[in-house]
Amino acid sequence: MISLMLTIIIIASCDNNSKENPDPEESWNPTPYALQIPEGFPDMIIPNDNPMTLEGVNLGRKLFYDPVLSADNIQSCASCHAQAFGFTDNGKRLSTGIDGIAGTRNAMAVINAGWMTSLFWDGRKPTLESQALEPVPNPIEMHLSWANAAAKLNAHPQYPDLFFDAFGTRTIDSMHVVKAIAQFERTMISGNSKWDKYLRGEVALSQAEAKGFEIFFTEKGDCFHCHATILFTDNIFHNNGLDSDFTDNGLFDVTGNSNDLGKFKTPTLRNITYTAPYMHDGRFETLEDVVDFYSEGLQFSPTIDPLMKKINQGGIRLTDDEKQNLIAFIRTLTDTDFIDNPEFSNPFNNE
Amino acid sequence: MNKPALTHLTILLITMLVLTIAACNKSNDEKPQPATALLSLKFEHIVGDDPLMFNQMIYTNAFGNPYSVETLKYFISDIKLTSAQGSEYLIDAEHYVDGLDSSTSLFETGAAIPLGEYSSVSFIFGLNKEKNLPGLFPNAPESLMEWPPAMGTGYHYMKLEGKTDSSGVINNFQAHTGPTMNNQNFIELTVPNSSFMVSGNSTTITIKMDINKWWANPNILDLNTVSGIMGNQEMQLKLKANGEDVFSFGGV
Repeated sequence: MISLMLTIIIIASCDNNSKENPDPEESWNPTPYALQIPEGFPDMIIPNDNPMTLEGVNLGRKLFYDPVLSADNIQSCASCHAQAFGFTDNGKRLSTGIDGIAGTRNAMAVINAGWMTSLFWDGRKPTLESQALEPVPNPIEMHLSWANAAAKLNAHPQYPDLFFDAFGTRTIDSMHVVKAIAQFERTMISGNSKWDKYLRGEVALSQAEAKGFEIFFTEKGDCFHCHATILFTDNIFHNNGLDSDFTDNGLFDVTGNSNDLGKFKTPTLRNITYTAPYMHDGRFETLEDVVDFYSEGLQFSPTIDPLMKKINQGGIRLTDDEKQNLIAFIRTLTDTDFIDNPEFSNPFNNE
Repeated sequence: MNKPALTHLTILLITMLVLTIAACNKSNDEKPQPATALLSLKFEHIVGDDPLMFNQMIYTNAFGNPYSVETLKYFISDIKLTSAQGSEYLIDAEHYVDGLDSSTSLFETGAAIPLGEYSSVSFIFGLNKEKNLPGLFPNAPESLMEWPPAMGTGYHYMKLEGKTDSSGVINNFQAHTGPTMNNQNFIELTVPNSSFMVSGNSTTITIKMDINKWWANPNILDLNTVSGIMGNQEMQLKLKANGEDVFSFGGV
C-alpha cells in the first residue's frame, strides 16, 4: 500500500516537471540541444531550470535580433552587440539607448559567455538569465517595461507558438524571454582561432607570434594571470592601473567594499581585434594603445592589483619590437568562424 | 511549490533502497569490518598568533617589511596518516584552498580511516610531478592556477600576494610558487607534533599556515624581492625551504 502511494507520488513528481502549464490538448516535445564544446574547454554549467533545447536556442536568437523588445521597436540586443564586432557596439566607445542617452560603460562582448560566472563590467549579475533582465527595462537602453514587453509578445502573431515550442506555454513572461536569450548565448562559442589550431597541432606560429606568446605567457608581459586559461579571462575583478582616482568605482558599487574600488571584470581576449575600443569606458581605440598603457602608462591607486608588478616603473616596459610581437600573438585569438557563423547571425535577414 | 518536498521524498526512497540492499549484503557477509571515521582537514591561516586579516597593512615580517595580504590560494595533495603502530594511510587527492573563500577551507577527503591513535599527518604542499600536468583541473577556480608551458607547465602550488610599504613607496609582491622550468618545487612535509585520535563517525584535523613563516626561516626575505619570481629558481628554492615549517597542528 505504501509502495503504491510512493509510486504514485513519484509519477506525480515527474509529471510536475514536464511543463509549466500542461495543456491536455497539445503535446510538447522540445528537442534537446547538444552543445559542441571545443577540446580543452571547461565544462559549461547549464542551469537546471533552463535546459538547452533547439527550440529555445532558435527562439533566443530571434529575440536577440528582434527590436520588439524596445519601446520604439527600433533597438534589439544586437543593436549594441553586433556579430561583426564580436557582439560589441560597432566600434563605439559608449552605447546610446532609444531615448538618445548614452551609457557610461563600453558594451561587453558576447563571446564564450556560457562560461562567465559574473556579468557586466562590475559583475553585478551571476547568470546570463539575470543579465538579460536588465537592458530591456533600463531607461537609457531599450526602455520597455517587462509588463509591456510580455504584452507585446503575447499579442504577437508568431511568438506564442514559438514560446510554446520552447517552454510548453503560450503565456509569455520575462523569465521565458531571458531563458531563451541565455540559451542562444550559450551556443555562442569561439574556439577555432589560429591559437586553437596551433594547440591542436594544425598550424605553426610565425616568428613574431611565437615571440609574443613568450611575452604573454611569462612574467615579462604577465598577461596570463588575468587573461587566464583557454578562455583568456579569469572572470574576476582587478584594478589594472587605469587611473589614480576613479570616476567609475566598478565593483565597489556592487559590494560596497572599499577594497573593490576601481576593480573591473577581466574581458576575454578572444576576438579582441573585433571588439575595439577597449577598457570598461572604451578609452583606448587600438590594441597598440592598450599595450602602450600596460608598458608605460600604469597609474597607482591603493587598490592596484598586486599582479601589477611594475606599477612603480609605470608598466612592463616593452620595446617597440616586443609590443609588435605581443600584438601579433594576441591577433592569433581571432576566430573568423565565430564572426561569420551563420547560426549566430540575424535570422530576420533570411526571412 | 511542493516540488522540493517531492525531491526530498525521492532522495529518501533512494536512501531506503540503498539501505535495503546494504541490509541484504550484510546478511551474506560475515567478516567484521574495522570501525572507521571519515577524515576531513580544516585549513586556518594565521600571522603569528592571530587569524589572517586580508587587505590590511598591519603585518611586519622578519626582514622588517610592513605588509598586507590580498591573495592566498594554494594546493594540498597526497595526505598521509601514520598510525601509532606505524601503518600508513595515503589519501590520493588534491585540494584547492582560497583564503578568501571559506567554503574551500574544509577538505572533506571522503576517506574512511580506521579508528585509533595516529602519530602524524603528512602532505604535499603543491602537486607532485605526476599530477602537475595540464588538464588536471579543467574548471575554475582551480584552472586559474595554471602555470604556463613557457615556464614549466602544470599549475601554481601557491599564489600569495599583497603589498609592502618601502619607506612610503607601496610595492606589490607575489609569492607564486610552482614548477619553475620543470624543477619540482613542491614540498613534502610532516606537520610537527601532529599526533591525534580518530574516533566517532568523522574526524576533522585542523592545520594552520603561518604567513610570517614564509619569509623567515631559514631565508629571511625582503618582500621587495618577492616579485616576478616564476622564472627565478633561486627564489623558488628559498620559499621551498621556508615552507617546511609554515604549517602547525591545530588539533582535532
